[in-house]
Amino acid sequence: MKHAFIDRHANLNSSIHRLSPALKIKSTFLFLAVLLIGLPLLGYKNALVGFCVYGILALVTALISQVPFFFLLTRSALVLPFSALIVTVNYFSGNFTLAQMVATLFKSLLSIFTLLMLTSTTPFHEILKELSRWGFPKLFIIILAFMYRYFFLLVGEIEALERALQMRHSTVHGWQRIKVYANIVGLLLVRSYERAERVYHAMQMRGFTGDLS
Amino acid sequence: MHIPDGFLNTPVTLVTVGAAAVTLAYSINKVNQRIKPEQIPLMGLLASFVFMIQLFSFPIGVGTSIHLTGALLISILLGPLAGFIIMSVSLLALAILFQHGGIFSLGANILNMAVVGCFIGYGIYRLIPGKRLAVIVAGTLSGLISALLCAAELSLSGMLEFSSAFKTMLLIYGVTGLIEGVITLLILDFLLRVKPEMVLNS
Repeated sequence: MKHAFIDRHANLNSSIHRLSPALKIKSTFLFLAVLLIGLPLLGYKNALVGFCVYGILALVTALISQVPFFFLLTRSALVLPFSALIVTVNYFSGNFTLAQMVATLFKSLLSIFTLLMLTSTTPFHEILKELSRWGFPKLFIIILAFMYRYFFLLVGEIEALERALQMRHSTVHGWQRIKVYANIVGLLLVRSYERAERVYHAMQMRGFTGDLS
Repeated sequence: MHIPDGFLNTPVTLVTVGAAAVTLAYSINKVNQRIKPEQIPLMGLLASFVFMIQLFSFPIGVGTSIHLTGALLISILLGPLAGFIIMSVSLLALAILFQHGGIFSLGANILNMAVVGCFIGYGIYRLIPGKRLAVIVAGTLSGLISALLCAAELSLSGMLEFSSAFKTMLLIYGVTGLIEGVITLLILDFLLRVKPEMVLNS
């Protein structure tokens, strides 16, 4: 079982990790606003220069933070299927110029990189603490916290189910396989319900009455 | 489909974020008024569940894999308001922890998936009398509406010409929605066999 693998680089110790979470969240928003709202106002040619400057800043921050660069790169690349599709469709239908195409690709990569820098340098519970200080609803924060807390257990369960399936049931295709998928998800749902019951009993034991304040 | 950051212009971003925030505030307010204490950990675990199934693609052969959004399923089990909160939480977590979708485009993603799946999909489900058919129709239609909204947001931002890629997208989403409906039905059948009180209490 792999605990805390979601934001696994958030507990490193660099000068960026030591900055206050509030500062990091606010500056992430500011940077994203500059990238997504500010720079595009300049027109595509000028924005492209802006994106380059932004990119260099982002790289320097990444280097200082000591987060493995390969991780940042592969995670940022997750956006490529979507952006490449949109960009090529637009390019071939004549809706985009080449500069526009490059700018759009760049912009989406940089914005995902920015967000990734936040989550790789700030533990999730610190982000939640900050959000709740800013007045986000208690129920919302508590559900997020539960979700983060139990996610790795669900991953463990689904891995075990998949392994069992591969061992005993790998030759089924088509409709039968869709049914198998539905059963796996159904089973996961039943286990989530049962776990929620046990968690609730444990909370009751410690005096939880449903009061969130 | 989770829209990443960088594909929506400022007006579309503002309108979608506003609409999503208002719906979320309303739902949280409503749910807060009549929530039972045991539902708090349940909603958390189900958010984790939705988060999980959106990441878990299951290969079904011939090079394709499927995964559920879960909006219709959760809404049938817990009601649309709680379902909507759970979906929004998962979408936010997917955006900040797994880079599926962006932060500025979160409003649009909440509209396309959570509002459509939980309110419109569930509404359709309630309107049709035969419950087995209702699940499938609700799944298919929410897939289509979701595609329409997504296309509208992208084309208003100048990222998609409404005619060109539109028909393909509609077809793909129709099929995805149909699959979502069928699988939701299969899961409900499974629950009725294994733990019927989960379905019958709702």
